[in-house]
Amino acid sequence: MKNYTAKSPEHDSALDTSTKLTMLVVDDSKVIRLALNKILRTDYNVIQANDGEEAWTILSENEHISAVFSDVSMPILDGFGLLDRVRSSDESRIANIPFVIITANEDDEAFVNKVNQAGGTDLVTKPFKTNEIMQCLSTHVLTQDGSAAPMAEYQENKVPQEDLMNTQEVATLMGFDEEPAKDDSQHLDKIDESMFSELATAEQEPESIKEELDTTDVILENSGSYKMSEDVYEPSEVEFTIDEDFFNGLDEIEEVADSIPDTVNFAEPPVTPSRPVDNIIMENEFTLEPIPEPVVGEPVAADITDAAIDVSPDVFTSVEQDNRSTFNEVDISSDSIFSEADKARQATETNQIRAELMKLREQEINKGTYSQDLDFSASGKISSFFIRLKRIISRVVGINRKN
Amino acid sequence: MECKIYKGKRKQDHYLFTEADQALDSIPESILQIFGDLERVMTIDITTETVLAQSDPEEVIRMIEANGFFIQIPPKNNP
Repeated sequence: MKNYTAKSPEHDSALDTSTKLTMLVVDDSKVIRLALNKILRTDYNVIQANDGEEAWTILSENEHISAVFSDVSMPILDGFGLLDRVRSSDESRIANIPFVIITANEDDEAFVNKVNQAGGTDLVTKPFKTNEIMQCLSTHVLTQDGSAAPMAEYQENKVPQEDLMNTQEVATLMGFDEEPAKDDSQHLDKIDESMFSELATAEQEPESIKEELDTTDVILENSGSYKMSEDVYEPSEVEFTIDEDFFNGLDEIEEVADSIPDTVNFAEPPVTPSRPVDNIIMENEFTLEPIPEPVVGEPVAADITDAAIDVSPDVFTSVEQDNRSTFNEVDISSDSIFSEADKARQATETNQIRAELMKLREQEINKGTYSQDLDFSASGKISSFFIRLKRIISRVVGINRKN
Repeated sequence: MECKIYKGKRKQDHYLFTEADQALDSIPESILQIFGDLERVMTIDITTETVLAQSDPEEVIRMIEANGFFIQIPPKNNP
């Protein structure tokens, strides 16, 4: 059937079939197609189709396709219809092709059975993660020399800062005049809705929207926050809030921390931080403990009082436990300013906090009150967390200055 | 008949067919509310000869001509 006028990205473009395997991505959602394209395109050629019928045409004509990723719900020929045609094909290259179903029916046993009976090779659940897709290919697809398909190294749930910065640019492009939301996810929701509205009404998809989609899907994917439909999408276990304040705060912390040595050797001239810290809150400085007289020539770790480490469990709420990766990053960034004893104490406190948070999360889940939306509301608490961390740093910097 | 096919954020497996040059504001508000925000999936030329796996093309054309739209719902045996 050749009567489709919808765009079929990369359908006719030249593909590097000599060095890369070719994957066919079939989904009526442009965002999902772009997300899969983004995941796969480094290691594979990607051909996209927005319906099973179009996918069948492509599959019949392109002998280089090594695997199919297909959504189930599509308007003309759905995923099972496509799978049926594939498995019934007289051509062995088509009949035996790895066929991965993409679905939101994660725990639906009847659905899994249906996929197995229909001859589906594997099943990937939305929202999917990069390594799930790559692992799936590595398991089911062989290269021409018989080795497993490439399994690239990806970092899950890390949002590159440049992508985060793009969210404001995207929001501006999309015509949001208001101040940027504290929470990136709120941006994404707005962009998502506006994007779909524009796509639905535009006679032709403007190039700018395509680019914004391209940018947005990376953010969605990396943050694990595909949340396109309240009916279909559910929060994944590792979703967490990415707060712009988090990165701003992290920048400041890292900048200051980089300027401070692990220890101060008092036999040498004191080290002055290269970056002014006047803008950092210096609360409670009068509570500083007297600094022990250092032994000349022996490195002395910067002292941090109990009062300074004001990161107690009550700072966090149950909805923030998914931000534990945030906490981890802070641990790392502050390595250079904590002594071993302080780090050990902090680790203990961190574990206590984590245990408490996990316990609270389980309670939330059991009560049915845990939700992704609650995660979003935690961003303000993250900001307060950073204010407290700044205080810690300011104390350390203050100690160094005095010496 | 050249048709546009939309999917809604609220009904991921339901599809709204309209004539290609038809504005969405001519679709009843109650229908639009059922679908939620719409994403255009594709544009397709549907004739009586067109093979649609889930709908009868003649019915699609007839409904669009009569009502301005056709709603394709998923088969009942879908899990």
